[in-house]
Amino acid sequence: MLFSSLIFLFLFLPITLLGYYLCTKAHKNYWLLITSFIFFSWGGVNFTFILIGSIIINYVFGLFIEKYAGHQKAYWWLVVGVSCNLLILGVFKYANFFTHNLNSFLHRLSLPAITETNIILPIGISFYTFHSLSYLVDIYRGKTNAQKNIFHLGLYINMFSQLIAGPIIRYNNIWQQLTQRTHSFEKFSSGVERFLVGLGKKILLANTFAKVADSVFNTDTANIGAINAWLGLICYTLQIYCDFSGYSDMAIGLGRMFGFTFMENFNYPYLAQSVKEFWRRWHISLSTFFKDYVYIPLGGNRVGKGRQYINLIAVFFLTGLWHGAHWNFLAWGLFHGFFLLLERIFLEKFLARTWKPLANLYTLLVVMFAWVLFRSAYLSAAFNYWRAMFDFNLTLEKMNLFLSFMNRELYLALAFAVLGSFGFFSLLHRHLQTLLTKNQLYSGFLTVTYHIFSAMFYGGIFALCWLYLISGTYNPFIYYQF
Amino acid sequence: MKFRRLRTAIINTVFLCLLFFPLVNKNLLFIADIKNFENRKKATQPLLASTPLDSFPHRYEKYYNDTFPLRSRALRQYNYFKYFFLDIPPNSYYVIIGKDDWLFLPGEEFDGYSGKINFTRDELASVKEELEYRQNYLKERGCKFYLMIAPSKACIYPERVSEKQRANQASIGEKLLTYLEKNSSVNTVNLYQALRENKKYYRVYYATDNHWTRPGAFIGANQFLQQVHNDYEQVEPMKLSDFDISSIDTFDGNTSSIIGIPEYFPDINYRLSPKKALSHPAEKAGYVADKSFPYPFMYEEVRKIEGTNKPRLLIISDSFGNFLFPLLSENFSKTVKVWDNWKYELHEDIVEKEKPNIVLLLIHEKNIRSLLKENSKN
Repeated sequence: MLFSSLIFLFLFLPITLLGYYLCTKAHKNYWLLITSFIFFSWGGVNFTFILIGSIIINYVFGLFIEKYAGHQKAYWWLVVGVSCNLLILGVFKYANFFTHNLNSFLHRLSLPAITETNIILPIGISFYTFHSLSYLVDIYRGKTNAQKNIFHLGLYINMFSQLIAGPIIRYNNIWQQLTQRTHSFEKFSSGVERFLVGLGKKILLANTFAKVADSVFNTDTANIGAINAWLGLICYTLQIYCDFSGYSDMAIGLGRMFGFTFMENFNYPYLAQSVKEFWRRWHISLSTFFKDYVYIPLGGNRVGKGRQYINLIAVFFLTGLWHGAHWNFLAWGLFHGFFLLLERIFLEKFLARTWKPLANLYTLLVVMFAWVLFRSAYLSAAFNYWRAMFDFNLTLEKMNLFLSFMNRELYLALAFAVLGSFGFFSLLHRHLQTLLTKNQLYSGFLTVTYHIFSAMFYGGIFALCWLYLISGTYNPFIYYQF
Repeated sequence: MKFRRLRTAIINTVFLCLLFFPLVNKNLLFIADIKNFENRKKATQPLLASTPLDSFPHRYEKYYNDTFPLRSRALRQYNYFKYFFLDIPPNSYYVIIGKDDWLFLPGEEFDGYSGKINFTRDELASVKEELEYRQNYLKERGCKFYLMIAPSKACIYPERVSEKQRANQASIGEKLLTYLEKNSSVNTVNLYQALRENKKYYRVYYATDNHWTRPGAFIGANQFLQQVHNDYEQVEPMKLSDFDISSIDTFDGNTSSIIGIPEYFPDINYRLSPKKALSHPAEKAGYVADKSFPYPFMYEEVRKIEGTNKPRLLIISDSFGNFLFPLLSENFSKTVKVWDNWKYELHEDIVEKEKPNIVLLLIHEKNIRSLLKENSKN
């Protein structure tokens, strides 16, 4: 079930909210747990057993790690627990990739192939596995206590708001909220605003860019030329940001509606002036997870430079691998790792002295070139796309293709997305608030007008998203279909 | 900040009202929906007890989407928004808006016109073989076979297609006819030139429908009759003066219905009826359509002219035969039309029963590759 679907918005969410606020405080978590399981099983009933198994395993291991805290046994319980989680993730996410590539290798050696697996990837497995890992490690490190209530642990691992696309919530950041969170109209309203912003980003912006990006990336690169290649890439750059940050906004907004406060996951990443800064602003929960649970345990910045560089590459290898079981994602991760390495070796100092817009441009170009790897179906397709980006031979067909994308919907989407991703609306909101506070004479009238306008704006986004969602279900026929 | 509570109250209220409204309206029906214009049956509600668990969510979601409250109203509002505010064609995946609001169907129809879809040399040979087989089969039974291709609208009205989408080569149908005329003995009726020449007198295709108009069908019928006249002197091309022709403004073409706001896409509809009708509806043989055929009452149509020595005609066609049939039936002693669910088969059983003198296979250019699927020899 997607957040951006009619059934989630107008059936699941209202019923979940209604049930939640009708429940007593003691039962709210159980209601959320039940609805989260329903949400999860909507994407595959059989996968629910894997999730339940994961919750039970982590519950048991968590208790044992805490029981043997300070002893060697705690370490071994941690190792077994982490291994079980990684095994589940490895089998479901990477078995197909592994067997396929092994068979390619065996084929080259003229050896018999092994049976290819055809395992379906359960939804959310990357996220709930990382939730479980952070839970076990934080208990081992003494940052938190094991959760004695398996249902509360289940809710942490499985809560529907962040199950599909994050943010990755650390257990020690949330355990108190499981039993002691507050609810208020203001918090709910702030959650609504955040949710609607995310919904608008996903449906009105990301989907608009997707039409262009998909069309360009699916066209033979010999027929697109630089003009379309760059348009397609700009659209994809904005699509992935609006899509991903939109989902995070919706997750954070939903959390607030139920009294939770989740960490921010995006902080205007396209404002970054280095790749290092980019990773402090993009998918923050993932980059901090890898920093805390991979990079630092490997030695972090405490080891020699050579070892640091290896650790950095290892982290970004894993980052790429986490995103998908495909060579393209690995290449994407290593591409970022390479530039991070360059920055660490000498480039960072140079960027610090460079004119900020130029540093920002460098970062954007690195990130955009990397997106080509992320988006392309194969590595060879990515190389061809890069080549097309420098094909300045403009033909009538290429121009016509470019013009076929130009319409008011795209212009508006580009305007909102570019301004939004560079923080313009946030800046505008802060300035307006300051203005309204300072101007005592018209403060009341202007403030009321501003609030009413804001409310209408959010209502308008919801209504427009409603129309767009319904249009996505439109399926007409020339001749009547039974 | 001042009036924060006001903002909170308004946002929460508006959000919750919009969130709960569909659920409430579904049960209490405050506002009724308008008629659905998708031309299909809605998904039915799956029962949890009788549906495999893994497929239940997908099927339920399909049902939920199809029966979402005020769905058709919302679709219309979306189409208005797209067309009038964003100035882009609504549902552009399903319809291409050309010049002067002429509408074309994308996909196979437009790709066949533009040359994006073609026959390979082997495929042309295969089609030729199939058609020659049919022609010989029918010839052995004293019957003459004709192939007629109804052009796609864009072939006849390329000036209504936007410049950037206009084709610069012959369409798939024209290429097939050229190939057959050069390499085969199959009798073909080429309508492309005749329709282009006569479009200055009447609109031969609808602006908002992918079909030809009655005048367009009249031209098609006459092209066919001119060829039949070579074998049957008693069959002659028709004169337009023998018909009453009138036009009305309308907006209910099949393509404009897909747009969802058909009232903004006006069109002309012609009525064409013989001043002195010779044929009349006759008893059907009772040929049975597939269960999947959406118009079983139109599967078989029969008209007769009593007391004439004119030949008998069997038409195997698609929806383009609907306007052609009443015109041709004025020229044959018995005319049977079978709309065979877009299969374009030989129908040996019907040929055996009807014993026609002429069999006309009428196929819309959009479906022309269906001829590759047929292999009457097997």
